[in-house]
Amino acid sequence: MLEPEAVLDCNCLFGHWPRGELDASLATVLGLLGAAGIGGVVVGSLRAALSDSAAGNQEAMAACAGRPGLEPCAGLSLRRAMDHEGEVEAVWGAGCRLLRVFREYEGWPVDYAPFARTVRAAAGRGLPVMVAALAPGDITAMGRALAESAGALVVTGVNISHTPLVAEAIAVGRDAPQMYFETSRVENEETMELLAGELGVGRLVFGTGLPFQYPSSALAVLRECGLSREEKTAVLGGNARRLMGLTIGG
Amino acid sequence: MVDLHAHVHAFPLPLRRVTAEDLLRAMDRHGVAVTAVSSAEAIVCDAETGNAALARDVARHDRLRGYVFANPTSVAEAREQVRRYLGEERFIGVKMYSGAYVGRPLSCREHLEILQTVAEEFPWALVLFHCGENDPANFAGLAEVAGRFPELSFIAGHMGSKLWRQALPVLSERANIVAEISAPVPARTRIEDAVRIMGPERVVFGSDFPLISQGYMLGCVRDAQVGQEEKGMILRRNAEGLLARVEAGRAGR
Repeated sequence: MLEPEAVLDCNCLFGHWPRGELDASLATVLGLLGAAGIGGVVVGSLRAALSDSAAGNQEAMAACAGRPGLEPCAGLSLRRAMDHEGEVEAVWGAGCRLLRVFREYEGWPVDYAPFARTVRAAAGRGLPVMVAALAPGDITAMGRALAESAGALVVTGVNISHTPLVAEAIAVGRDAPQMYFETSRVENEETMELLAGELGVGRLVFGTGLPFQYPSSALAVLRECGLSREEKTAVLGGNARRLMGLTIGG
Repeated sequence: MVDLHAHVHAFPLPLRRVTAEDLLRAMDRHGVAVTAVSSAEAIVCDAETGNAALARDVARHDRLRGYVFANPTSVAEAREQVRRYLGEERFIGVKMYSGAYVGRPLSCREHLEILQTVAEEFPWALVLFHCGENDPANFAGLAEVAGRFPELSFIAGHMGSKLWRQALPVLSERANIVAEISAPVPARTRIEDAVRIMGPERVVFGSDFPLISQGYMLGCVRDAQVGQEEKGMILRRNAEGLLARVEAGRAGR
């Protein structure tokens, strides 16, 4: 398997989780990543997701400062934001190369004007936007949003056993080359190989889903699937680095 | 290691039809010695055909154990299949489902009639129930039914799925229920919560293969913040105890 420095988790949050049922502190998250053999992470703040995006983004940048292997992921509340272009400029100027929006916490549908506006603004900067697919039809709607913007989306939540979204991801992804899929919910090797075969290895980016998911599960599927070492290297970090223009690890 | 929850045959999803040989190859990759399996085809479409194909699979492979799927839409047919397959050496129990595939809950009259037959004629059998509907009635129904049949051992497949924090305290109240850990979301603290609430002796490993790979679920166990002793119980020893009980019961000991 790859050296820890070559593995980049692009789906990771830290901070205070108000339901209190799990430890989401930065120390715990980094400890779990280290134990799993994951040396790179694009990490965002739960505060940005749940409360104050600006304060949360500052928290993420402070957490990454001086720590090799850590890059900040910006978050943006689309229930609160009104100046989407200005928000995108602010996070780009601060050096963030991934912008995450939180429909899983905020409850808005994909067909939502603030989301479309954010995707367009981010496209102008070449800033990829991470967004969760939660139900059938979501990825189809994301494809429409992407067609109007020429931006890049990183879609989380693609799975086959709970809310089967794999067939929809392939159907939409074939016509949306700027749609990328994060792999933490890809639960078996056959599905990983199917997505890579149908869409191309370059469209898959590794993530763990921390602090809410055990990180070794997603890693195990990639380790054991039938992709070549070069293909695994791309999924585990190379694709995300290229997409975000990052130079850490790799 | 022992996996108490897997499937062969075909789901209506973009996955190849899984053979017993596919499953055995996966077991070899992950170091799983024994897997207990039901037929996906039996669950989602045709119980008679699926159960018959499963019987041929487990007869060929001594590392597989079978669950006969009991479809409550026809009690007479389900009883006949239960009697036929639990009489075969490598069948260890019954798979039961609620939700879309069968359209009724575990506590329905038809399920209870089938379970009455199992309890009277095969009291050593395991009952693997799909406890993964994200509906409190789903796990509450299992607890109710387990209370009616204290002689049977129930496995709570998926242990409540996303609602595990609500489900585990309810399931723990019945001594004849064990929690099986497989879940479509590898949610942190599921295993820690199961060990704390059920006790480590009442938590067992399952994968839901081929939907979820054994490696994906082993990754959860690897990361869980529980001791190596507890992990050994989850991955092997608790299931071995259940299988030994089945063998002893079948032998009339």
